[in-house]
Amino acid sequence: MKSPRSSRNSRGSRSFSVRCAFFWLLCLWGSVSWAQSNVIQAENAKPGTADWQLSAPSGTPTVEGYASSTSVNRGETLRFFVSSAAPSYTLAIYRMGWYGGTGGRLMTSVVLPGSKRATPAPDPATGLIDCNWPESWRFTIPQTADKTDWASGIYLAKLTPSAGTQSYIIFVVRDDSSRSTYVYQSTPTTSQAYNNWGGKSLYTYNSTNGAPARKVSFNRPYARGGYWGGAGNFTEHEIYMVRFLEREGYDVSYLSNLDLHTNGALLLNHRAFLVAGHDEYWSYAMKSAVHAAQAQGVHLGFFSANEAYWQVRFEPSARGEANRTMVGYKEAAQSQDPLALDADASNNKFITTRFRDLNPVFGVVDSVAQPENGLVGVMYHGDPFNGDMVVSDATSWVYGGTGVSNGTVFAGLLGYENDAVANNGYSPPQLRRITESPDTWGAAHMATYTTDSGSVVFATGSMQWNWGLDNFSYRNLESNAVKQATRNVLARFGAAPLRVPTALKAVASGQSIDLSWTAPAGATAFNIYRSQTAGAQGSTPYRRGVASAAFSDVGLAAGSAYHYTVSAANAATESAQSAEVSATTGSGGPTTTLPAAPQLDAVQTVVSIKLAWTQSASAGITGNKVYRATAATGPFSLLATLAPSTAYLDTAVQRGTTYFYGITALSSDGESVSSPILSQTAN
Amino acid sequence: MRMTRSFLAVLALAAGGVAQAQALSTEAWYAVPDARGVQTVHVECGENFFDPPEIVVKGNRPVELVLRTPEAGQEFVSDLTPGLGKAIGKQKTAHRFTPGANGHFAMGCQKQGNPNAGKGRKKGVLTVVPENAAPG
Repeated sequence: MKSPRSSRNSRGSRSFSVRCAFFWLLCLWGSVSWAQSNVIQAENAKPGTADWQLSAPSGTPTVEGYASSTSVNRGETLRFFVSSAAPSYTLAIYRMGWYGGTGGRLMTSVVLPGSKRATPAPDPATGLIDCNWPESWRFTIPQTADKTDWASGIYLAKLTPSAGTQSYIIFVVRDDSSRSTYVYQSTPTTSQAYNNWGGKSLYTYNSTNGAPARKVSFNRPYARGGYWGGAGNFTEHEIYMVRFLEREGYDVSYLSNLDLHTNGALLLNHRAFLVAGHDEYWSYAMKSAVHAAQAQGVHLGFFSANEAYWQVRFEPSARGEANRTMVGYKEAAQSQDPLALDADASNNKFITTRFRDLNPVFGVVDSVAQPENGLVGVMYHGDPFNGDMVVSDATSWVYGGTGVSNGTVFAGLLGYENDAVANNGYSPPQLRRITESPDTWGAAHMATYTTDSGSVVFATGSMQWNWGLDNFSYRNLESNAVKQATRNVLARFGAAPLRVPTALKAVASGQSIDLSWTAPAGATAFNIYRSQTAGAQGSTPYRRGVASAAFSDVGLAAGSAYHYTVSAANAATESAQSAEVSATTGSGGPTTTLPAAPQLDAVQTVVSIKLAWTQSASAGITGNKVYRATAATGPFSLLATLAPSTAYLDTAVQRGTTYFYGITALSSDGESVSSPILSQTAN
Repeated sequence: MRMTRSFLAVLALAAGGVAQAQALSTEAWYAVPDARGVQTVHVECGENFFDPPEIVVKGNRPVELVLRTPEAGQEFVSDLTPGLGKAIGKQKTAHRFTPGANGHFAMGCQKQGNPNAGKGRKKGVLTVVPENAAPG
């Protein structure tokens, strides 16, 4: 930001001559800011219903189908493809949560005509089964200002035929604008890998003739799960965590791991990334996204096991629908995966084998294509198992308030796949194992560690941990200690100090220096620290409360070096200062001619404030910038960058607050000093 | 190159335990023949693990276990070939054989190391299924 205060220091021809000023007031509309209260709490206060559960389940349901995507953002359209042996069926969509213990809320319902669709034969080479059924119905998720209206969440479309048995279609509703503390990832890639609808999965044990597919399509219903047909793995482990999060009102939003594949930067909008249950199949992009988020300090909660075990790739369907086919050659990768057979070594990091095999078997040297324990802390070491977790380090912060001691047993919460710390050279520094639970392969572990970036990682090493969070399905394994430990993890994720801003840059332009940086999640403002000696910024900010991730320091001495750091802040805390950057201002010679400043003529408001000014008298004006502060001495924040203008309506005002404004003019030579500061109180 | 009787017994127990829990785990490694028709599987004998811990091959077809370990003086042992150990090291070592009998066979690394080092066992199970059976 170029501070309007600099106008007081403007000199000579660059000074802005105030010719005249007049105020004119205009009553317009007030801006309504939607309070970012906890969406989950508000949503779960709404009436729920247990009707989301299937009353007529079947392994071969009368009606079944799939959706056009594993997730959809609010405002986007989802298409449904349904096969029904009954003449009609009801498609009822429920959001999954707590809702007073009912577990779901009915969102909408529609009765549709039914038609039986064909089950395609598997592709003879890959085993791919892509239904390509005609569209049955489509629905656009409302995108109202009320974010509890079709709130981000996991949704089940229950299909009930006019006569016969039922099934589900599962999907996620995202809110890509959400800045919720936690983001929960559903795991459709793993559900699809195990899905043997039509006779083929990526597994030998449930594929026809014992021959697994090497490619599976999302364009088919989920068969695996028997009673829970259609919901993939969701009801085996994930639902326990979702019910817990929503019952306790955590500030969480949802995405699917396909979203991690296509837009991993979404993780940077949140403080913590949560996974529960079985999250086995990851693409390179997915793993890369989590590594990148961790490097930015995003916390990782793996309430799961078998994390990031097999690498997969995605291909479009035969009709060009992106990422609808998942490729996993697995044990056959070395002999059948085209990327392993070609002569191009640069693509070997995408070979669909286990991440832990990419280096030793395929010679890949890559920071992402590494064994999963380098990220998770633990790694898969065996299944099936159904046993107990045993506390081995009761002094861990995870156990605060749980009352456990070393040797305490969490009965029935270890399995069905188990992870362990592996001494393979990839274990993160400071890894701390906090359970050591005897199993068939030695001992399974729950572990934590913290990275230099501030990312706290927690991994249960067991899928069944989630059974301790809720008594869904009446497993009777719900445990106060497990719930408290989970609360402790989530609390640390939410309360950990703000991360330090990164990528701070300083660029000198004449006698100003433009700073920019990358904002960490959770920051609402930034403090600038400055010194003219390296490392001497001290602890008193040079500017407080900068609203955006950029700042222009203007009116500086010519030919001088300035050193900067920046910290992130919110209402509760301030981060440490970033790494220092420096820049040296220009000599101040007459190499450029900045335009003269425009003249601010008027401000007026009721619940908006309209600014009007006389444009700069200089030639070649290319635009104007509007700055605002709530004190005459600043700090000023850039409010708007405009094409050449003589008016601006500030609607982001609060009644009773006095605002201070300054205007600058832009030309190809740079930015003018500011107009004199004028103030106006919104009323 | 020798394997102790007691180790064989432990391996057999481990194999039996797994076999009783479930015939095959979902993550069992189903060997796939390469261009030579050899069922090739890469195996790591780590400091506190044996990976993959469960391997499935077809009988009467050649098998090649490509073995590696970070430990000096380590041997791969299996009760498919009782009494014989295969010296292994950081460099990959191929262990070739053609199983004749079907069933579950213990395999692992001779030196189990510090029992408190993560308490991970360097043991696994090799399952041989009939030649005309499933594995993809």
